[in-house]
Amino acid sequence: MFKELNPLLHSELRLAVMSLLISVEEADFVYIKQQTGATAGNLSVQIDKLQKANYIDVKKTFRGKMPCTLCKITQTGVAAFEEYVEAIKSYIIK
Amino acid sequence: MDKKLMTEKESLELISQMIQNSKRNVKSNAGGPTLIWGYATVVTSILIYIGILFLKTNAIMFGWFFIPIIGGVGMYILNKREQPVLVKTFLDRVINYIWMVFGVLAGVISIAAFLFHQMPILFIIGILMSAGIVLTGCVINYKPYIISGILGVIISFFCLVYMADAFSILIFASIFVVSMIIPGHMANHESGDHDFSIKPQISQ
Repeated sequence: MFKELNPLLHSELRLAVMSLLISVEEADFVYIKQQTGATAGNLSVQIDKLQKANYIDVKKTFRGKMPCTLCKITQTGVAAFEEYVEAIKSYIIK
Repeated sequence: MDKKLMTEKESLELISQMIQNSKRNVKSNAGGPTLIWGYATVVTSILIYIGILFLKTNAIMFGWFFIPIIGGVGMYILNKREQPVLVKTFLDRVINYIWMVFGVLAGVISIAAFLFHQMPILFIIGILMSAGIVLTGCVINYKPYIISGILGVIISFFCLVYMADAFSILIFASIFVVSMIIPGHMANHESGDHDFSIKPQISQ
């Protein structure tokens, strides 16, 4: 029996963001943009969706005089990501 | 973008690629702090050894406090010169805690050594810093740090053997050449050889 894939995570950019954040403690918006190659606008929208689902925490702060946005995965996000990977496995191991 | 459907295989590949990218960032600029503290200790040790030979006064021992001064200034300059840190990994936190604990311990023991003259301070600091390098090597899975740290621990025992001799200061300096300077240069060389800034294009 196939498990249902979380539609919020089964999107290329959102999954890329979650995969990056699962392996680091926190990451700057610029870093995520560099690693995913996404546009700032698109990335902002996807990060906002993940934040609304309580999958990531977003902290807006300053580094010197420059504004910076730090993203961190939440426990809910980790659980959702693990569930997504388990679901994906059920499709692969068939 | 939201509407783009991925196959299960593509999803797994994307997850694996992103995790790999974040791992690549861990090893860049790894050797900087090791080199700063290594050179600060070696230069100070050699100056103190020369001072002992020619000046023959115990006041020269206060020269050890140049290590935190040179190291502190070096770290400040390094942090200013480097690009802002865009990502903090769990390994960064572990390494920071290791060196915070070892650094404070080394400071406290060094101050105590001025009160208790029989303390084998060079042996203790040598073994402490070498153990820190071994631990760092284990955490970041970098063999040169592990091997050089172990060598540093072994050399530290010679400081105990020659404790009463000024020659022990040169042995102490050699601990830092072996455990910090050589692997620090190796780490920098290796991080310079690789392109850590892989930028995969996620379709828009």
